[in-house]
Amino acid sequence: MSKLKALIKKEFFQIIRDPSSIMIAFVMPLLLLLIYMYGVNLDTSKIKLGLKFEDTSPELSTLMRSFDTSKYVRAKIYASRDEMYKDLTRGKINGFVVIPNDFSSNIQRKKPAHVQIVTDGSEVNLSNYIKSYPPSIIRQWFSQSDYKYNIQKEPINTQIRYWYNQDINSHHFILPGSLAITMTLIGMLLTTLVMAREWERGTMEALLSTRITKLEIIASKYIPYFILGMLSMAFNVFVCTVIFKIPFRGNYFVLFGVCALFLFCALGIGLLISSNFKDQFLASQSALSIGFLPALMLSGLTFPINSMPQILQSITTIIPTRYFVTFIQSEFLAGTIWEIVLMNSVFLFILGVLMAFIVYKNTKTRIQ
Amino acid sequence: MTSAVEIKNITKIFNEDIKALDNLCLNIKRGLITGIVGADSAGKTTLLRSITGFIVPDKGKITTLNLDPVEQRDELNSHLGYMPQKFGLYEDLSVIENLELYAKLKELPLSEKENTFEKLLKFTNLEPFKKRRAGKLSGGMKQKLGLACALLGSPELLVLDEPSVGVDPISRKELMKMVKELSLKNTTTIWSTSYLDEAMSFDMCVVMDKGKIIFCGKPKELGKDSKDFQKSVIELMGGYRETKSLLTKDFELKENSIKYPIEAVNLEKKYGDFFAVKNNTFCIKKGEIFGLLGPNGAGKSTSFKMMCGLIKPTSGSAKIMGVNIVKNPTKARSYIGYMAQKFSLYGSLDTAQNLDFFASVYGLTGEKKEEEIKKMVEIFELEPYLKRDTKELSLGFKQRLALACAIMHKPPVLFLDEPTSGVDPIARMDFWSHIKSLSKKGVSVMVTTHFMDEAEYCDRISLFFKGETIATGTPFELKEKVSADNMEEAFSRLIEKSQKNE
Repeated sequence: MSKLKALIKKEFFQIIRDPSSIMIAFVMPLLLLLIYMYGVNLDTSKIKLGLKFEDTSPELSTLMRSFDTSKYVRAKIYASRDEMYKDLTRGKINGFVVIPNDFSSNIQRKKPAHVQIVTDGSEVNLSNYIKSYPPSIIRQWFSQSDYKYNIQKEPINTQIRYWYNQDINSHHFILPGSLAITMTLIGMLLTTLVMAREWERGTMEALLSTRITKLEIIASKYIPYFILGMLSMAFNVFVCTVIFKIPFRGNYFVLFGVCALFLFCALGIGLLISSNFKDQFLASQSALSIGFLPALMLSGLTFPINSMPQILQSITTIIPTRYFVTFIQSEFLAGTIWEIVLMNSVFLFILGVLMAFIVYKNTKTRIQ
Repeated sequence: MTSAVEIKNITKIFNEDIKALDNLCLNIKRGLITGIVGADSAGKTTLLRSITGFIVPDKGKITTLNLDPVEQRDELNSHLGYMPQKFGLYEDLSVIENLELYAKLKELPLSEKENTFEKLLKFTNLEPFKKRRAGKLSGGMKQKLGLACALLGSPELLVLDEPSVGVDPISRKELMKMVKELSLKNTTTIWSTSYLDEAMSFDMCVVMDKGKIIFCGKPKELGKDSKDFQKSVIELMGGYRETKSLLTKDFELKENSIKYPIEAVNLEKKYGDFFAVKNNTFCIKKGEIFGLLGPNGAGKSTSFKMMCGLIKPTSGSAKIMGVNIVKNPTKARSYIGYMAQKFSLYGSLDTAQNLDFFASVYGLTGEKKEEEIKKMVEIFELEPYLKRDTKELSLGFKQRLALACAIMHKPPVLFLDEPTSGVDPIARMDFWSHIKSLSKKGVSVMVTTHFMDEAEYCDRISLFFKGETIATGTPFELKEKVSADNMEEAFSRLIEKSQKNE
């Protein structure tokens, strides 16, 4: 026990004196969070929309105003269609709406009135917005205009509410999710370097000629970086909730409990990489490619797992970040749901233990 | 007398074809210091690692302290003090923290700790540097600290893997004294080295070559003094035929009328209040070999780096072929060939690619480049290694290649910063034969070294201590000055004298 303590103490000295661990634990996540907060935005602010009113009846001036004042679109009124087509081609507008000649007369005659909406299909996301924004603007305008008495009420009235994220603010789910990605990176980077460093600097040889056991060496790597990782997590959660004001509806004990399990996995992956490469540079490169990229692509944060091909879906089951992303998003947005907490914890626990076992088997106490 | 280590017919093969140990048998007697000497790929490290259980041999049987190092390694470790090649120190930890860590790991009883630490710190003169980080110690101090850590827990077997690479003669002597006085009477010490003068002072000496033992016995059996000893060892290793370096045939400098290609005037470098180099003035003649000697941390490397324009001097100036290096570094550097302490070759490029790269960097192109590379390959016999990655080459060959890269552009000035650290005697002699022929062709050479036998090759020597030149002259003059028999003695005495004068 005293040997383990001495080793842990040594590891902490190294952490404090070598700024790179501190950078990894606190500066890097801050940068990533800033990028996710201010750089990544899945809500499009104001789409650019062209408008062509072929119907010039004065009653439609209120519709024009509705488009103008909508907070979702920036409308530009065109006099000629050709001009508008050209602007769409040049990418100056994302789509356009044409109100035909007979629009108001049709409404007055209680006939169906047509509206043409054209979107730039090369930008799939944007065209989805264009598909939905103008009709809702028109519908809203209609319900408030003088024409509303001309037709009977719609038989079905749908109302949409966004539960758990009322403002449909994508930051509210991206940031917690990105915490999972950040923690993956931190957990792995912290430990990928440590074993490789001991080999590279020749200290491993000296260690292995003392009475130290393999278990002690491994534990002395897990424990300090686990503590550092948890501190980093606390720091990240603080930045998210207090500084970026992301609502947190769950329970902090549950959050940190599951995070502990997750860190256990991530540190394990790092150690595994580290014990297989005796060169620090190679180790950190492979941490990025075998650890971080799959976590980013296959965790379900950036691309929904359900829409992946079957084979990729099965691969995601061994990626710990996947479970942590699912958990952390629901914990932040929906509060503690025990079913989700327990299911993900079990998977994380199994993966963590498995990782630790492989690390133990893979840690070499001899050369070749 | 019983044996501490018994080795019967062990063989170890790396990468399927490199025989590191070849059917080797050896008995190491208890309570003695046994030196293991050999070329740098002779298998010394593999042998030591097999003895400590770090490597499992493919064939054969080893018994260390009556234990099987493979099966009973934990048991063996508690009787073992091992110092690996890079000293095994944590550079981020202070001197005392390193000691504390190893004391805990070796389960040194608390009651003994105080006393042991005090004794070790006093003996190593590290007491004033207790709080300094190991990474900031000089080479000699690191080595002493490494040994101190290995000595903790009074091991029965002390294994030191080339503890004195790149360390000055005085520190080496102190290290030997430390081992002799601090280890217990019945402690067995196994010490590998490439310094033959060091091997002379061991109780027993084992000479290895190509994974085999070619001599095992008392060093006295090989020679009366270190010169004799060296001759016999080289003889054992297959002998060295002094052949004329092909450089003499093919190497032609451009004509120039400069008398002193290297000049330093009042060169100084200050870090804060600390003088790394103080008021250094010297001139080096055309075709002269000028040696800079001195203990680790004396300011040799700093002087060197100022001379090639890698560090800006605080005051003073340096001229290369009459060009001021501070004012016109690019022009001045074009006259220099430089070989750094650590081989600055690209390890993952093969020999041919390295040659090609350095030729291009020095501005050789087209046919001239091809011709020059071909010449270098011929002179340094690099043909069989052209397609091998340089990181796999032995130290001796790396050093040849580095020299080839440094002189490809025919520089009138050559700087060599500890070019032979860790290289075996034969490779060193070979290296010096090239240097001598270069100097005959008019190249001025400035060199630092820790090998005192190499100092004898120099035309003139400047002895450096604490940033200042304390003596200059030919090797003969320096020896006369303090009436010493050999360079090593002269070195120690001159430094002692300067310490007394302070």
